[in-house]
Amino acid sequence: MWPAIATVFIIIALYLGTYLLNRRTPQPVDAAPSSEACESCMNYSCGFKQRMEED
Amino acid sequence: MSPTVFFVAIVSAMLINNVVLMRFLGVCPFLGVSKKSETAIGMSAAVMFVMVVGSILTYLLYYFVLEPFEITYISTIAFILIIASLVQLVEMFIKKASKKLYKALGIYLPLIVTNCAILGIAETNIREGYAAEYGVGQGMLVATSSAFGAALGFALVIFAFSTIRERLEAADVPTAWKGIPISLVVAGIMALAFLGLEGIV
Amino acid sequence: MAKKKKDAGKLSVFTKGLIQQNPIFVFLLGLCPALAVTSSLETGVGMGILVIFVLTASNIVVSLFKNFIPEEIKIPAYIVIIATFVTIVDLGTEAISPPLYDSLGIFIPLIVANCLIMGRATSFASQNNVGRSALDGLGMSLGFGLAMALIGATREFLATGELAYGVYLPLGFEGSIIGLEAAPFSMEVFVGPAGGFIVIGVWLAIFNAIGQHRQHRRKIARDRWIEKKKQQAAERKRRKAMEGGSA
Repeated sequence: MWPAIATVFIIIALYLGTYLLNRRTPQPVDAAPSSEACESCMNYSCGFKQRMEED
Repeated sequence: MSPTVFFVAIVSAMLINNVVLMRFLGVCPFLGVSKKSETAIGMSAAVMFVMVVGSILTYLLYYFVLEPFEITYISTIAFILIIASLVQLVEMFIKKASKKLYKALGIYLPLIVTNCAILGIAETNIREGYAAEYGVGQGMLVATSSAFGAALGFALVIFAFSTIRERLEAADVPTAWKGIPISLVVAGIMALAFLGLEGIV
Repeated sequence: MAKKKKDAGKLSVFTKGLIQQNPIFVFLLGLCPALAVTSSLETGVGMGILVIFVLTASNIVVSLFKNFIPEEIKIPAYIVIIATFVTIVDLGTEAISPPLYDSLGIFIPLIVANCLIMGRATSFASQNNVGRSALDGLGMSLGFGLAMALIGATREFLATGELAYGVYLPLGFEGSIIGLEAAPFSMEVFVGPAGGFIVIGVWLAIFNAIGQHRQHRRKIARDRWIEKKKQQAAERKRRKAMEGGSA
């Protein structure tokens, strides 16, 4: 039981760490992906899709 | 163990058990980003890299952490989080390393976390029992080549499909069939063609 | 009065997922399981039941914790919540119904990668209260299950000529809804991958055609209504002019 809980927490920490690191790394200037490519995609959970719909 | 094992693993994962048409993994990107052949190529490149590295990582995690501690029941949650972390790392690396590469692959990376092909291949590698058949070390090589073959198969099918869809755009289809319905029927016919490859290995 | 309006709103939160915003046939979300585990009615329904559980539970938990999760780590938190419920469902199915577990195979852990669940968490449950989120999850996943059942029934009937029950689900009784009279005309290709793509494509086209027909009818009715109103207005004007003239 304890190894399972420990492993899950370690992996969650790893994911959170990489996620935050990636989020805080700025996007290269004028390298934002074109909205044209996203148009036909149906994946509403994608971060880009949400950002585009907010705009 | 002869090198033919790897060849057989690649060919069977690419053509006979094609991820999209035979195992139905990654159908969302197959329909979503196949409208133009450029986007199809970008997506396949991103999938290929993450699928190979992801299947190595999940394999190592399964046989060196989960199995020794007898906690294989958490494999689902462990695998998805490992793959998600990998995607974040790759995205960060690309952001820093090359603007050009980020422009080409940037949009596809966030999509990969919800791409069932990656997680599906990772799970399949474990369920196929390569480790029991070839030993944990060589089993990893077989699992990696089968993941590589699966990615090749994904790229082949999504590229072929995108070129067909580019033609379909110009074709005169009945209005009710326009767009996704006719594309699905085309995919069905492609699947029929792939049925003919059964048994070549 | 206000209460009645609110109730109507609640009902639409529940019912919109069934047909109007059906996840499979309208949004094309979750097509992987819709193709892979619909070779028979029962596997489709079984998958639908699992998704109903996961989506409703994850929607409830996401909306419960929406004020405690920092905006910055929203997506990782949702992934962890969904993965937890998928693990519960995975282990539960193995215990309750081994035949269903075997036939769904790798697609049970893959519920975690289903765009539908993540999509509902980010776009609905993170902005609404618990009750509405639960209703939305239930409605959306019921819509998913209904679509799965429809596809599964079509494929199983075309492939075997019957609709069996009690094979995969632990019902305690077995049999088939339609007998084997149609069996000589069965086409085995529909149980395979090609049949899956084609059946979903044909259903999509049928729903598109129905939608277009309805729109067309509505347009004709509206045109007629406008025409009638115009005539009435003209009539009134003429009468007024005549009255004015006589006076």
